[in-house]
Amino acid sequence: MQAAPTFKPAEAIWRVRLQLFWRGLKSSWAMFAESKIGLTGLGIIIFFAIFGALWPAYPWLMERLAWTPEELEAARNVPYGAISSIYQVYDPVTGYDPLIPGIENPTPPSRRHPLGTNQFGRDILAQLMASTSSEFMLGVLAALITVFIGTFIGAITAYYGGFVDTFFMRVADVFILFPLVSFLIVLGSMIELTLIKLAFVLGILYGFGQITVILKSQALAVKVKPYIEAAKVAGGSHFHVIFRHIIPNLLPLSFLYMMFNVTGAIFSEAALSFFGLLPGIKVSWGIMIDSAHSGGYILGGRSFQNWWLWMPPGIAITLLCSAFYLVGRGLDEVVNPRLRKR
Amino acid sequence: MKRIWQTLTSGMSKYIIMRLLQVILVLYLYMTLVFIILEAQPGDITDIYVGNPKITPEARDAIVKQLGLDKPIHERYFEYLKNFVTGHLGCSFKWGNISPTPDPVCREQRPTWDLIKERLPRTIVLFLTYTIVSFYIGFFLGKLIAWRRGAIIEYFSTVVGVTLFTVFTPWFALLLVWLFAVNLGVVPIGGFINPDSWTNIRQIGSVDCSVGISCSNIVFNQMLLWLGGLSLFWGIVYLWSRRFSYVWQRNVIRWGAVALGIVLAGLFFGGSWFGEVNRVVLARNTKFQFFVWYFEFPAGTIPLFPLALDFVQHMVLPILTLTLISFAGTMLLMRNTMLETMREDYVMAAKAKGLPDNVVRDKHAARNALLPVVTSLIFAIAFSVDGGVFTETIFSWPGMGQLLLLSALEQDYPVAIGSLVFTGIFALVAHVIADILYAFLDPRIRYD
Amino acid sequence: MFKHIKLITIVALLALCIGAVLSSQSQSVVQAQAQKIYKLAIFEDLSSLNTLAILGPKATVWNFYVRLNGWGPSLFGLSDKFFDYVPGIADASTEEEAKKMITIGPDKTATIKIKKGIKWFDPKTGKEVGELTAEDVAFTFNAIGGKLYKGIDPIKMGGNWPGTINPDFFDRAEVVDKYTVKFYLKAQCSYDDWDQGLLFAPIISKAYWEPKFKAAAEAKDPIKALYEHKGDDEPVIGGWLFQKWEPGAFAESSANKNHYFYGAKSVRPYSGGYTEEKPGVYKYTHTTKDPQPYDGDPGTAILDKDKPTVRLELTSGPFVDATQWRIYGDQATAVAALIKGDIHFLLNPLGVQAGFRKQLREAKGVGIAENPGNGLYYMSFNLRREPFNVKEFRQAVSIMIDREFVTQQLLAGLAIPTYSIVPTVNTAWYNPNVKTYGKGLKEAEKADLAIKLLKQAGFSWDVEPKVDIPGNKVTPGRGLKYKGKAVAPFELLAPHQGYDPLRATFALHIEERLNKIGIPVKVNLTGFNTISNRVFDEQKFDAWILGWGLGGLFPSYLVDFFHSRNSGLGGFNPQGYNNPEYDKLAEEFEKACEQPKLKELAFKMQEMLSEELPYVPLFNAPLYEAFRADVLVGDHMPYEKVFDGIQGTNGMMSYVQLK
Repeated sequence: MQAAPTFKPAEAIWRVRLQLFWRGLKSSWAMFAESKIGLTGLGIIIFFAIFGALWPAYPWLMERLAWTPEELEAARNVPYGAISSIYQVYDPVTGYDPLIPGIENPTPPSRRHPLGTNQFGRDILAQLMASTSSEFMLGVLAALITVFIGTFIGAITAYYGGFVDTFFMRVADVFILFPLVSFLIVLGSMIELTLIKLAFVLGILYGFGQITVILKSQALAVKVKPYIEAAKVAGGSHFHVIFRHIIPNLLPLSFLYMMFNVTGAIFSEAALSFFGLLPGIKVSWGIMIDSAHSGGYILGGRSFQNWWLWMPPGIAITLLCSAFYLVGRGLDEVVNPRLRKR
Repeated sequence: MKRIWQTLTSGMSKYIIMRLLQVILVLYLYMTLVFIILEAQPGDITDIYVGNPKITPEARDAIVKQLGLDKPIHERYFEYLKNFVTGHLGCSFKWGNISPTPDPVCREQRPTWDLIKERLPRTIVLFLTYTIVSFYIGFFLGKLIAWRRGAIIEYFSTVVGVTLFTVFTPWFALLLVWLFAVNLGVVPIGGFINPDSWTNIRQIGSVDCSVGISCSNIVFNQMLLWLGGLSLFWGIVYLWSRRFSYVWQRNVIRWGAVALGIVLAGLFFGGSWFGEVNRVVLARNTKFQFFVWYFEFPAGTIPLFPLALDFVQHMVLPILTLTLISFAGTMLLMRNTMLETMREDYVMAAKAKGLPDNVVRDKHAARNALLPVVTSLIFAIAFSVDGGVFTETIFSWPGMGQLLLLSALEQDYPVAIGSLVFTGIFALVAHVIADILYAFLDPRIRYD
Repeated sequence: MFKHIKLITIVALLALCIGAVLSSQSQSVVQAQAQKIYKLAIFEDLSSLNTLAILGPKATVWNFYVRLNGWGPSLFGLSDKFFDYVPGIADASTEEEAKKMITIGPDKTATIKIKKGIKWFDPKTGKEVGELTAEDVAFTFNAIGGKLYKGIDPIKMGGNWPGTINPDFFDRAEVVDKYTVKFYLKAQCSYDDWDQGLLFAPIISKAYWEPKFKAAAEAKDPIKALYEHKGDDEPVIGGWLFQKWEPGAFAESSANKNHYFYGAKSVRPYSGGYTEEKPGVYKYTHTTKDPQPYDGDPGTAILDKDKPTVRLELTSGPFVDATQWRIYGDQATAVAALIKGDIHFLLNPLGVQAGFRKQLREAKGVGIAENPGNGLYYMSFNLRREPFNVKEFRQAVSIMIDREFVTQQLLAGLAIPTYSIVPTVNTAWYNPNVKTYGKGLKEAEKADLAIKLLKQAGFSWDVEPKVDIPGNKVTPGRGLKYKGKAVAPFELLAPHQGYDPLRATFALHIEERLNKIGIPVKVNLTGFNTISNRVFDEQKFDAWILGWGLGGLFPSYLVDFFHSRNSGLGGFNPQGYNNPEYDKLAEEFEKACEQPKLKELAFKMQEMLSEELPYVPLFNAPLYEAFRADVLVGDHMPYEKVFDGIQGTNGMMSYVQLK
């Protein structure tokens, strides 16, 4: 490859990089695919991604699959609360089924409501689906911010050392020991945390903590590699060295930690909304569990009565959190080769 | 003796001093950070402070003044730092004074520090116990699955472990309450004491704890003292016993110490040996016919033991929950470090020597894999107060975490911020103490 | 031997544990058999023990339940369950005598006699510490009323005090003789301040409080100095001695069977009237059947129309050894404990929610009492802004809200649709002729009516909503304009699901329906404190939904919520309703003291409000209370058809008997 003469060297380098990247990806994938744990996690994540993506189509599907024309007609003509479209039934916040008298809610799974309804007559599956995308968004956004900060600070501290290093390491000390849950609770009671705000708060709090220390030590290992020296000799600026050479080498590890941070972020959101500290969010898995609990449907139900109110959201949180964690473990074996099976 | 002295004056003390200086710096950073974040809220923080409709306009002005909200920001910052340095964490909005001698600053309100003092021991006992239990189980299982790499048990325990590790804590706790307390009825549903056992208890030793002063806390603090004292005693004996060469000698000393500690504690809580100190005076002269080993108790007095046991009964379910949730973390970590040490040469050598499997595993591999796991234990202890919020709330366990959550929900900000700062300080101090202990234990750590 | 030392230690430990578990169980068994303790669940700990502070700034419902039992008797009171106006410590044996006593003379004085032989008790020991005399009564009013000590007056003491002893009405009290007090007042007539104010004030012990007041008056901040006392040793009159409080776990009061009213029997015969008697000590009767002289007898009025006079006998106890309040973290845990039999009654101001009721009905031995709640949940606007100041706009909003649909379809009958400020169940004061805009109409009919009203008032649309009445269909409109100016989208503040699902559900319904006819509203579900802060303290809002607990039956709130003088920051009229005509009526109402006149004015005010709609009433929630029907006995059970139910009497501590 090094001998191949080209007319457009810039494009060739670009292509070479892409090829290298592709090859690296392929070999990483091969390693990753060896880990059953990682694959399981990835499978769950893909499932939830599809599940969340299907949400806008859900009412449309239900109208064609579950509702008979007679039922539709009846729902449009009931004396109280007649509906004009089926979307009204499956709205996760205000929805209700006009054919079910209010007093009968919560209703168990049925044809029109595959996971039943809650005590206000809202479709559980609709709520579950509608929350999925926001959980994803929060988790990924928070993790991206974390990784962005962590990688950047880690690279800078390793590269410059000295005061910058001392300062950020002491800051990291603070954030490592930061009582995150308590802080979020106090913060949540003072301001109205929206999903975006929460993602930023989480991202920043995680970002300056443990991940900085880990990435810094990785960056230190990279810094002494000969090609860094070579880049410096060749006249590369600090900026060039950091962004072209150090950070790309940190990315695999960053990506690994990102997975764990997604877990943390989703968990935090669920916990805060469970305790009613996120009034800005109208539907989420945490809120679903809370409304089942405060409505008396968890502790009160003997032998799994009302299971459809609290099992689905609880399982969903657990599954999604563990999925990201599992992918992280799988990646761990790729990124940290020490665990490879012999 | 000389050797110890030398160590203390040279590397070790230097290390400790450096560490303490660092801690002070970190503490300062933490306090400043909390202040900045709370100050930087959109809108004016005074809105929240004065937003309680129950507070009349006059009282509102007084609160603004009491909190110093009328002062410029830098003055408030120094005031804030000064308050924490002098150990005054502010006065609650909600809780009124319940002490016969009111706090000179807070007057009719209860000082935050007083509330923390009341709740902290309960949190510490709960979380110390669970941390140790879950650590031990995690350590044991991690060791096992690393040794049997690839076996079904590895997949099984990894799946179960990861599920439990990532399970949504409040939900899982509710599930266990539902199962064990509501449906099976084997443990109490919530709370930390059973009023039936405590209702007649009005005096412990010479302390009148009928109204407002918690009798349970007296017993609790004594339990905590004994727990700490015994652990320390056993630890020292364990280290000391290592100098004996025969196994039976060590065993006699170690288990003798265990037995001695338990007998001493039994005498104290059983209430015969220490006389008046631990006797509980009952309000109504109900005849208590229990736990009379060899002593007749005068009518209207009982020993501490059944009361201490009442706590233990209430601790079973929270500890079970917490252990299930967190042992997996230790287990997975242990598995990883163990896999690494198993590739070390000395383990290979030991295997090659033909030593039995369990000896290689326990003495050679596991012991050296332990250190990173101990580090994680230190973090676990440091975070116990923070992590306690959910568990304490679900189990109605009136500790620090519940205090923080309730005061945040009820907008009792002095208490919420006070306990937040205290939680951070607690984590930091626990971390440092553990760090220093760790340095003592691990010969590989260099102090300079 | 040494080899097995591990095993031996473990076995010994196990044996110890088992022995301990067994012995501790026997302990609770012994105890449970020895005493009869009435156990109630509460959901929050006490925040103060000082009774003056509890009636002041520490006025939480939990403090009231636990601390204000058998404490502070008042001169007059309302009888339990029937709300007859009866003497408390005032000494009157007939209704005429009582009425004469409380009638203020032309010289603006009134003389009240008090019963002889009422004793104070020390709460720690249960021993007598003196007699309640006119000295105590006069001291209470003069000291708290601001006549004796500098820096102490009801306004400064805050909380319930200004409403109890109104300094604009009360002048001073004088001791005439040991059992007679003379009141000097500033007006000859004020039902609210006198009959429902001063005469209901708790009497405190002079011997206990005088030194504390004196010291406080000399302190830098007298009120703080007064409230800083722990106050657990304050003498009491009634049947409960507060003797045990384990913070975070439980509180307990022991029974005081020596108290003055112990064994007093109140009888409500089929023929009407009321008798209260403790043989050889005191007797009081009133014979008037209907209406009652003082308060319109709402008790009878809310009973079944079929059997208007249920015979009732209540004997004042206590008949248990102690009452215990156990603190639970949440309702779910407490309900589980009730089903298990750990507790006998749930004290919860919001009652038991639907999900719990279902499981409680299935549980053995649990009873549920259903009683009307004395509350109001409403929506209101910032009437200083356009278009909210247009009457027709508010009427259109009220029409569009389908209260029946929300309460029945969405809330499973948890709430009662409401169209008036005074709850319908308060029959003595509720005006049945209030306007009910749009009640019973279908969605399209409602929209049609609302659009007509809006057009009349000068509203127009860019795209007018279309209404198809036979098809019951509304095609949404867009771009609402008032007198040619576009109506900007506005915000409706309401509590979020976690705080109150009922109000949150209503808010979402209102958003949906109003947007259909082009009223651009957006709901903001947020925390209670945020709403109350923005509405009451800053008045920066467009519209909001909240609720009121209305306290007593007498509708003094008709003045408080709507008189224009209360529209300042922090006042109870944040919507800024300003109607001189209404203000005049309200002032007349305040000055009136004759029952028919009061009623007439209250009716007029309600009619005006139902048309003007400064509040759009939404619903009222009945109270469901769960108790152990197999343990709590007595012929007054189940305690139904009573305002505010069992908790209205603090859980019936004085009457309850345990099996």
